Amino acid sequence: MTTVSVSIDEEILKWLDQLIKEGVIKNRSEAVRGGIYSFVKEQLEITSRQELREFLKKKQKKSFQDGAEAIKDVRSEE
Amino acid sequence: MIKLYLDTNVFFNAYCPGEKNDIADWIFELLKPEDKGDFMGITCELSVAELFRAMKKQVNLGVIDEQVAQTVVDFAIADIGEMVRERRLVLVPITYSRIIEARSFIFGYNLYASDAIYAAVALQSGVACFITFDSDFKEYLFDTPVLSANSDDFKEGVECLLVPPDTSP
Repeated sequence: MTTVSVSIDEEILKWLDQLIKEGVIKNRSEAVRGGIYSFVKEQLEITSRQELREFLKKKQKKSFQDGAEAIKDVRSEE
Repeated sequence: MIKLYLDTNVFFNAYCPGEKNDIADWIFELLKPEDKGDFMGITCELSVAELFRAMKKQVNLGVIDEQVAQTVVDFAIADIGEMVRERRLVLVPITYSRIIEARSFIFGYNLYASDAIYAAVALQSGVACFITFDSDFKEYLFDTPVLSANSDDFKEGVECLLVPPDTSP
């Protein structure tokens, strides 16, 4: 894992540290990672698994493999 | 806290449209942080790569375009990352000791190397059961029950884990 420095406003940092104190977030790194995950979903404009499946239903050209079949295929490639 | 091992096909059935979406959603809904619920998910880090490969296979099979598959993978990384951050899911790394433990599953159950590693991860993590949509798994991996998410009494089987074992003489 790479360590990066980020600039954060003092007030936001105080708020963040309060959330850590209250046990809502484990630490500052976790807060940044969580923000990035949410940002990725926002950028994709897909925020839930249901939305992802609706998106895929519009894009698929034929039916997806069933999960068991798909993963069995992957494992049999070994 | 009861730990449930989730096989990779649970994630595939949660992300890709199909007949098993409802049951995959039900499984994910069960997972909660330690102080807020009864069940926590456990899976192996290798499962995430397996999911990537399964999406690439959907491209190779002409189900979706590469760009769409990349969107699924982006979403899965963020979604799994969030579940880990929220302590609803633990991603267990593969260590040398788990690989050594996989040996007994390869020889004892004739499992593929990856399946044997998952079984070792599940066992070492102290899970209450191994959840899979793959009907080829036997009913037990040593003492750990394998619950088939395809079976009619699957939900009942998971809920039974909440009942404390009868220790009366």
